Amino acid sequence: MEMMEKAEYITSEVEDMVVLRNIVKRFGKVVASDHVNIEIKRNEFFSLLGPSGSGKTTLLRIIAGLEKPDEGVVILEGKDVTNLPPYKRNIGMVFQHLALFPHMTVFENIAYGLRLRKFPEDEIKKRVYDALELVKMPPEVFAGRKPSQLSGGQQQRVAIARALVTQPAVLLLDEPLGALDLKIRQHMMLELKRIQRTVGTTFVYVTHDQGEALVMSDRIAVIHEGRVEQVGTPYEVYEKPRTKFVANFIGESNFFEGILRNGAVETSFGLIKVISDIQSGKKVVISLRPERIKVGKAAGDAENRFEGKIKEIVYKGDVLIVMVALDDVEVKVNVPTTHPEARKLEEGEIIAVGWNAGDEAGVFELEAE
Amino acid sequence: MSWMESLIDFVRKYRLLVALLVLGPPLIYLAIYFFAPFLITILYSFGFIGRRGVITWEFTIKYYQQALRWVYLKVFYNSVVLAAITTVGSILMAYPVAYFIAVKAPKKWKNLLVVSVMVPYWVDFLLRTYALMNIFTMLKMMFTYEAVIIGMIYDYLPFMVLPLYANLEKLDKSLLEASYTLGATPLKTFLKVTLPLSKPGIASGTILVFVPAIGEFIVPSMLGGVSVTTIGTLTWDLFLKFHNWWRGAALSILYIAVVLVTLIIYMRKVGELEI
Amino acid sequence: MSIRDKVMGLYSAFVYAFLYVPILIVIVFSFNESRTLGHFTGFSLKWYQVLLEDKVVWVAFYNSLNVAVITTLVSLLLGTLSAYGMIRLDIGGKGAIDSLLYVPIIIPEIAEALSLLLFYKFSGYDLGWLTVLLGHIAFDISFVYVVVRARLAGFDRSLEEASLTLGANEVQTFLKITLPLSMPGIIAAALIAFTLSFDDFIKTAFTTGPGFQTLPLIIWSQSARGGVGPELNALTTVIMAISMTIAYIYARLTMEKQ
Ligand SMILES: Nc1ncnc2c1ncn2[C@@H]1O[C@H](COP(=O)(O)OP(=O)(O)O)[C@@H](O)[C@H]1O
Ligand SMILES: [Mg+2]
Repeated sequence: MEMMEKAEYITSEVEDMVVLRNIVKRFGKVVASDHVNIEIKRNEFFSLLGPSGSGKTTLLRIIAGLEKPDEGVVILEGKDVTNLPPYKRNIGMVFQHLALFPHMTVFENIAYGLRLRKFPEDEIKKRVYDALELVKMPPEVFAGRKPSQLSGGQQQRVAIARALVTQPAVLLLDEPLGALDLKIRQHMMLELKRIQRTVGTTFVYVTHDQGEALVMSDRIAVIHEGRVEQVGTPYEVYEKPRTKFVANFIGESNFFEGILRNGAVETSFGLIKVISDIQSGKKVVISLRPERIKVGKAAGDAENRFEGKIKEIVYKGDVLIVMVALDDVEVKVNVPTTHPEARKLEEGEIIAVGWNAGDEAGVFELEAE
Repeated sequence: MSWMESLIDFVRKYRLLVALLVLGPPLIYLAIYFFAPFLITILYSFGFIGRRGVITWEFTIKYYQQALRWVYLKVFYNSVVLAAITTVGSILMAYPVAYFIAVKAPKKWKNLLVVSVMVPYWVDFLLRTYALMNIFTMLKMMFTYEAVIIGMIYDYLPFMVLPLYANLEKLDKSLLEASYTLGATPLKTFLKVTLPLSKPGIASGTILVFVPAIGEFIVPSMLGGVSVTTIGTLTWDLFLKFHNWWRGAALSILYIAVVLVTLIIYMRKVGELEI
Repeated sequence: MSIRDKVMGLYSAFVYAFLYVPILIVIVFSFNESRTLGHFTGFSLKWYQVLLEDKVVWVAFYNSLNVAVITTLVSLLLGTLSAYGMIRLDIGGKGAIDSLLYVPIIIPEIAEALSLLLFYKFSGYDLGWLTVLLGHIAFDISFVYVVVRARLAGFDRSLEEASLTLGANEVQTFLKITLPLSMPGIIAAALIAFTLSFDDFIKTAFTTGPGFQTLPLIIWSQSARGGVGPELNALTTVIMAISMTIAYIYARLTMEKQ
């Protein structure tokens, strides 16, 4: 105990708010966190993105101190907190199912952390009201209500106010929008972003929804089977995925397999020119976004040009999704409805598709099976 | 605050000791006043304990042989028959009621209807059976087998309604609608959808009624007098009238064996018991 | 409502009548002026007057209450401890311990009662207040355990975790979150423990000795061989009123949880 209290501060104005160093966490045979290294900066909106069961919640709970890592170190504001319980870390958390105390009013819920910190009662009132204003809940209306008398979106706001009112260094959010309707969810995404900019607190946001992560985050860590696949800005993880998993999980992608030789990949339907520094002779997979493929005349002068039969056309309002068969491979192409040839496309017709080397989202080496 | 922290530290460090402190007292209590008595009963039934509680170390199965004599087997048989009639009777009475509360009753009545079944559930059989004595005396039905059967169903009915209701309440009502849209009549829907899905509820209720009904003492004794003998009345007489504890112990162990076998079969086939 | 639904409603009404009419009859005839059963000759409180003046009844009432209250307190403590331990402690062998705690509910009362009697005889207890009390507690612990455990199991663990992240330590969290939220379960358990003990007959009959009588024992001994009468109706009405009121509060509490 004693030793931990005196844990050193490297500096009070550290740039990295949260540092996870070589975190390993096992549940029986499951490795929920597999040597995770992440640095989250001050004032950053940072997302942990990955499919369900990939280990996002576990990482968040390790930062919160609700779970103890088997190996590795957790540093908050430059201070090693690995062995500190949650209530000695300067954090706030918004739980997946919100966890508002059902036996307390909205006011009491938000005041809970302040009372524990022994603030004077008038200061508590002021801060609770400010917090409610911040999340756009008129205090005169809502302070006295019980959580059960609030809508899902309102409960959400109270949970955020409760977690922020103690002015934590980091706010941890575990899929907080998961239970909301699409409309409210989209609205709350913008709200969260606004709140984060207003208070300037570092947000660590867990989600399995790439849309949420791309819209809100400054940076994203893509998690897969307990490992960090890639850390980067939304632009980087979308346009420059570092692994096949990232390319597949974020956005949509066509995948073509083949052998890489002299800057081109030999696939079952022909040679595809790519830009890649992978060694010649390796088995690789190309990831190509549907919106990067041109059709008809526009494909005419592309470095990679193929012809195939249109198998299916799906109208999606702003785009047509066109499935084109190239030999045994089906390619998905997004054609904007404003495309000059869009109206003329018909199922069963032969059409040209094309793209240039470098248009691919990435070329990934396949491990030998 | 520091005593709190040291307490928390203590809990963290000595997890097993804390478990012992928390779970120890209730388990020790049950060991002494619940499980040890059963052990003693087994010892009595094999004759290990003689008059005035003296340990004799004489193993004998003669009390079991006595308990398995024809007269006693007949009592066993009578008890099982009575319990079976009780179970069937209470299913017939309870099922429509449980179905009505769960599916048909207006929402605002639902709670009241369930609570009205729960209240008698918790009142001791002695009082409720006594209540029946008034009516049977008026009807001059006291000390008849019919009175015993009606009394048994009367007492055990809530034990059947509640698990059935709990089950039917969970039934997804849209399944019934789906069945109607597929062209099934209400009767067909009941037979092909509702009834099969409520089997676990029927099973739970059957266990809650059948098992204790075999050993029922209060009803046959108060309403049947000397005309109806069951395991319950026999046990009572052996213990409190004839003080033949050894034979009574053997009889009771046999009864418990029947109970446990029934329960184990149930658990294997259906799973958890809801109370 | 269709005809079919109406028939079902009528049938249900009949079953509810079946459950409650006998109880109503007891109550009605406890206020009957004359002894004759089946004829209500006039309203009178005289049988309650008789009860009030009956010393034996008063002693039995005191005994019933005494046993029920102590049973409730002790089984509440032990049952809640075990429920809390089973839910929160991270130890092996929980399945086995859970089964052990369930056994007293499953074993028929008469089998338990006679084994207690044998145990007391064997260990040389003097039958009476203490032996009755010890037996009631053994039985009630399991009921408290089941009720409180169900409440705690339905309890969202993240409420406690939220409290920890808001700066409360484990003890503060227990006092401010866990305890208040499990209170309805604990109260429900207390009510059940009380009724089960207060009107218990079989276990009491087996484990009591000369000189220690409870209310149900009076009803038993006086109603033997068909002895129905207005005094007994009055006494039964009183005990049932207590038991049913408490059972009603319990039922309401349990329903609210849903
Ligand atoms: N308390 C636990 N006990 C056992 N396994 C767990 C526990 N918590 C998480 N896991 C396992 O760890 C893996 C990661 O879980 P989690 O962090 O909840 O994933 P996510 O939040 O990304 O859906 C999963 O396989 C899950 O089953
Ligand atoms: Mg999760």
